[in-house]
Amino acid sequence: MLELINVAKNYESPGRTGQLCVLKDITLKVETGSSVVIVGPSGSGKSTLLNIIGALDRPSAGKVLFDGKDLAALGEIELARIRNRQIGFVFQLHHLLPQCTVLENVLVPTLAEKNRVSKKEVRERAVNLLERVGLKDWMLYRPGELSGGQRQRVAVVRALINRPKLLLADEPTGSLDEASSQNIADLLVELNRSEDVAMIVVTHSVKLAERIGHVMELSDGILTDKGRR
Amino acid sequence: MSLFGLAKRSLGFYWRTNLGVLLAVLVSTAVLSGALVVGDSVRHSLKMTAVARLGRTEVALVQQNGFFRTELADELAAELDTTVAPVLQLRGRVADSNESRWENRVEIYGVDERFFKVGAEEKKGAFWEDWRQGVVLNEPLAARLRVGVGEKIGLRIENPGLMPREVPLAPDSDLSIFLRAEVRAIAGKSEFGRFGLQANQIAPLNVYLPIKWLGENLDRDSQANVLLVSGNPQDSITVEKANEAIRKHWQLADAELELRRLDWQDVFELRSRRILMDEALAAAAMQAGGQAVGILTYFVNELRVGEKTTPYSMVTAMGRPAEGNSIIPSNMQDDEILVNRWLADDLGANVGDSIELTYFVLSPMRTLVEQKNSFQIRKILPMDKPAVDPNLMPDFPGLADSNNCRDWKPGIDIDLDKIRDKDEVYWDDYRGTPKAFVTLEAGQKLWSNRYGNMTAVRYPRSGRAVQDIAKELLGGVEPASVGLFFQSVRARGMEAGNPTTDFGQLFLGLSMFLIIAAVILTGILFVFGVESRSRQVGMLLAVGFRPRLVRRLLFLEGGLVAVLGAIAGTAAGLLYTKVMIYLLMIAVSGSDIQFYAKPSTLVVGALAGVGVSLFAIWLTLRKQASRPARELLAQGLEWQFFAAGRVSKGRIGLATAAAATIGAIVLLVALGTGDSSAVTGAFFGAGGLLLIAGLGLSQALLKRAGGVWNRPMVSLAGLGLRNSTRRSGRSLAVIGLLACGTFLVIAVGANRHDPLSEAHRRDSGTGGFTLFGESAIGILHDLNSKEGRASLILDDKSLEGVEVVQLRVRDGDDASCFNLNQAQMPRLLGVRPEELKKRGSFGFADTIEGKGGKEAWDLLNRDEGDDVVPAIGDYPTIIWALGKTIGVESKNELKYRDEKGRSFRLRLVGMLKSSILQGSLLIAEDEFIRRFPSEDGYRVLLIDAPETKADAVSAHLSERLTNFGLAITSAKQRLAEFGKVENTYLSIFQMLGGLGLVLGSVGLGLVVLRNMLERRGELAMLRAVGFNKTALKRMVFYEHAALVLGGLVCGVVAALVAVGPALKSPGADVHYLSLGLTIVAIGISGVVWIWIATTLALRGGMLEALRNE
Repeated sequence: MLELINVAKNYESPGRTGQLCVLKDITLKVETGSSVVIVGPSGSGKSTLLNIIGALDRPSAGKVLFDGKDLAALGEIELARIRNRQIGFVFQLHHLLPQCTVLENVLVPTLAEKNRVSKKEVRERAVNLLERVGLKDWMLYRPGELSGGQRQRVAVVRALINRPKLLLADEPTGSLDEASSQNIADLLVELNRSEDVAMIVVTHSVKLAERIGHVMELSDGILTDKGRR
Repeated sequence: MSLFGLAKRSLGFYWRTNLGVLLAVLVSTAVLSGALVVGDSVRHSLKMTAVARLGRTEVALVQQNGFFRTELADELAAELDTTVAPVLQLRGRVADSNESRWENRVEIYGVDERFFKVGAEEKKGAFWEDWRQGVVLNEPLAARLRVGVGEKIGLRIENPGLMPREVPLAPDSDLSIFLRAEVRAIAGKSEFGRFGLQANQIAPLNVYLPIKWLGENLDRDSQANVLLVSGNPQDSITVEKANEAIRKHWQLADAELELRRLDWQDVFELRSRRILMDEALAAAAMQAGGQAVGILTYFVNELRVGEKTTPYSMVTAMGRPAEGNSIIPSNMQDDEILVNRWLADDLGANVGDSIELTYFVLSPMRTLVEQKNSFQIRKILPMDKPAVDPNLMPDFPGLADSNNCRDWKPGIDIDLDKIRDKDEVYWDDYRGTPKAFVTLEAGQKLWSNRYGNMTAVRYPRSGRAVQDIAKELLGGVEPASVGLFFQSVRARGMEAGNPTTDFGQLFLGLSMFLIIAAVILTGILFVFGVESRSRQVGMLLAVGFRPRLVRRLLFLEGGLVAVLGAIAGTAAGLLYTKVMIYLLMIAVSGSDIQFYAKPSTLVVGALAGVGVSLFAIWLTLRKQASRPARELLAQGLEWQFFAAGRVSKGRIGLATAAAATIGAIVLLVALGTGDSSAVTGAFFGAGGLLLIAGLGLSQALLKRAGGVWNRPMVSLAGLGLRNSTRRSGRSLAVIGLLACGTFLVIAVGANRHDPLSEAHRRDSGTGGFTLFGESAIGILHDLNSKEGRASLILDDKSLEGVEVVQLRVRDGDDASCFNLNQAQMPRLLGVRPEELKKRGSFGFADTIEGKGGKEAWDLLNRDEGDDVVPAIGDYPTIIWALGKTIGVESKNELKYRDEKGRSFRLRLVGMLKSSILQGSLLIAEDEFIRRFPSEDGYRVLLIDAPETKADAVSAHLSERLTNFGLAITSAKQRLAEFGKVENTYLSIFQMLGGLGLVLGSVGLGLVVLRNMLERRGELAMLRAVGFNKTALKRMVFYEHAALVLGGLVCGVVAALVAVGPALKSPGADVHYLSLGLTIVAIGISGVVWIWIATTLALRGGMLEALRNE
């Protein structure tokens, strides 16, 4: 489903000569329903890699194939469509809209493309998902009235609302306490299975990495397969 | 859940930010719609004024050079099936009973109930129903005189007289009549008290009298000189129909002609009540009836043969038709004369002798110019018919009704010593029987003048009736040629109600800076709101929203705020309108502007408010969602600012600055020299371009400073300056706001003029005159000559060193800044150009052919063709009141009609600088006389009196010429009154600019506050590493003070260039100190806002902020 072939990412360095090389020759293959966790020290380029996979950024070299399509060859509109339909994002910070209810937050991605799915159908899915993560009773509440863990669960549900093929999570437990982190880890694993969604998680958390299984390490821009834990 | 729903949610959730945006939109919409409603109010008020002054009048006839029967009104009313009101219109002076208050220029109207039927609201028991005596004053006049109903007033009314006043024989002793009368009523607007045919919006001062009573007092019983035709229900009254009705019904009496039968002569004789028949009429009379004999009888001072003389005699010039009844033989030569026996005996003359005639001819200012001419006696006529015919003498006033020669009172001095007993006997026996006869051609050559060339036309009766000849005569003359023609006063009035200056646009212009400031503030506040939610934007992009969709969502939210703000702003705009109307009424004192808002204008105002706000929002949104989602989602928003590839060299700013500077230089080189109004425009344009250049340069500096990494900042000030480059858009907005505000303050301040600063100079607006006089009745004599002064009983000694330039006046619309109407036919002044040229009076702002200096007065004598008259006006009259200009073919002409209904055009050939002549146009006196021959005398006096005795001269002239209704004001005061209007507009502009600056300051404060709040974490870090609060405040101060300074420098430099010509112009009244203080105040206000915002931002625990970071 997803294949990275010799992906590299460089940045121009202002005031200096030469380039700053963040990712080097990264090759990765992710199949439907599989899950990968990427670990590595701060500044190793984990988020950059995730942004490239999530079509939020473009590689300086190499190819990113999603369902056989090279993302680098696609325009912004097509990329936005892929992000909306095929990829779900979970950020370290939930980025929920404080002005909207929990349910509305979940439905936000469905607004990106008009009339793609029926409103009724999508609402039912949102309610189901919220029920599955134990937030059905909270769906008319605003994010400000929820705990950190609950908010992150809402963010996960939001990421899944359009039935993506790939779920990307960038430090999903980074700002949560241990109990909530455990909870989110369970949820991600469970959804990975039940929703048949491939999952790439970037984390520092050893526990989360262990829960997910297949670990890869990014260090000095080089991705190394550490195998299953 | 929909996009709209999401936008609505955000609207409420972020209500604080949105409230700020809403208030900014409210201000811009209020100002916008308010300014437009000012335009509505002015237009509406002018239309209402037009309705009030014309009532239901559709067309009107104003006879300039005579009077017609009041019965003509009845005949036209029946023909046109509407009300036609006859009016006797004259000028006069009015005073209260003890002469403690008076008004010198008052309109006197003789009217009857038909007048009120045309213009007043219908009401039972109104004063005009049973009104035979007593006068009615209109409200403004009653208020000025402070008289009420039942009180007595004194009226001095011009007496038109029978003969034109400037003819030497016309008496000048009864120029006016005096009436004492009781005030019967005070007429308000609903009682047609506002009546006036001139499109002036300042209420006239009117006195109404019963037409019959006034006519009797003026010996003009049953006569009128104005007809008002009311519109009828069928709405079918047109000028063409009314003129056709005149053609159908007019009679000889309407041209003041009389056709009488002379029995023993067996002729019908046509004569004019005005004594002289004008050329067109005389020519038509000669065509009518067949075998007509033209007659011109003139009063000669002396007939002489050798040493013998006969004084004061009539001599008749007569036609010599082939088959007519004439004393003159058909083969008589023009240098031959027939004398009667009495004269021949008196002079001892025989056939063949030469006889010399001495007589006065018409000359300006009634100067008596005596001329002589000699004839050879062809025949001596016996003292019998047909030569003894007293009817040949017209009814010269002061002569015809005298019992003996010593009672003669013609307009010339008669030397009674010259009158002998035998002359008295001749008068007793033969009255005005002419003593000599010449050919008509010879007589006309000597004695015809602009008023006419015949005193009678005789037709052999040949069995015909009077009516036949009258019909033939009337059929051959166009009534318009004797001044009987209608004009479409309603259409003209309504046209005048569309002022040249669109006050909506004017106030929009005056408020422009305020609007711009509010719009910038809208943008700033909105973008702050959006920026605080940039992570939301990032999230939306990340979940698949396209940037356009995100912008649409935010735009929707901003649109909702804009709509709400515009609705509230439109309501607030009504209040703003009221304030502006109040200010406008201060500027144009005497104007009556009523609040009036058209719903469509409110909609336009609201839409414009929404439009400009949405534009500002769109501008700020353009870049918002264009940043990558990953950047927006990042915790720190700033890192990408300095990221690779984003270093800008500010090329756009530099290019803009360079282009604008080059443009300014080109403009100054091309148009910046010379002495025309284009120079002012060029400098102002160059200033504007330099302002743009300054802003471009600032943008470039900000960008470059932000991109320079290889030079580390080494001070707190350096850090502050570096910080100011972080948000270059915001910083530029602050610089722009302050620069525009400063530019405006200086530009307006420098354009203030003290009209009096050079007022003593002849090339100034006063023309070097100390006094300006206007009279109700024309002054006929030369105020500079001994004789003229003596005729007016003026004390020559009191007037020593005084010079007067006398101007003829043709009343018209007031084209000064006191009249908001669009003047259609401004008042005309007839001037002898050489007088003003000799004095070098009044400075020229522009002329055709670039003729400058006093030589430009010669332009009035240019030959522009038969129907084109060159004219000069001052700048405010030509540019502002008439919307015309000099030299541009399509915009330098005005259409006029002369008093005989002939069309002609005025071509503007010169433009004076703002002057005391504002409101009128000047043409050469000879052209004036050609177009308006019956406008007798001079009604505007430009008086050059030594400064020290100006008051005494004013008092002396006012007292001695009180019967002329002469009002004298100081020329300086008059000029200052005009200047006050301009300066009040500037004050409004400055005040609104000031309000804009307040908004600009609020914007600055918000930018500082926002900058600080965004960087609380960073500031906390600086404190953590050892900076104290004072040091941080200093850093923030450096950062923002640089912006304030940048704004001030840009504004001051650009403004100084823009106002260069204004600073150098005579009368420039630039208060440098106050301007300097204003700029300092702007700077201080900026600093205060910086301080307030910094204090607020640095309040509270820094560690909290650090933790959040």
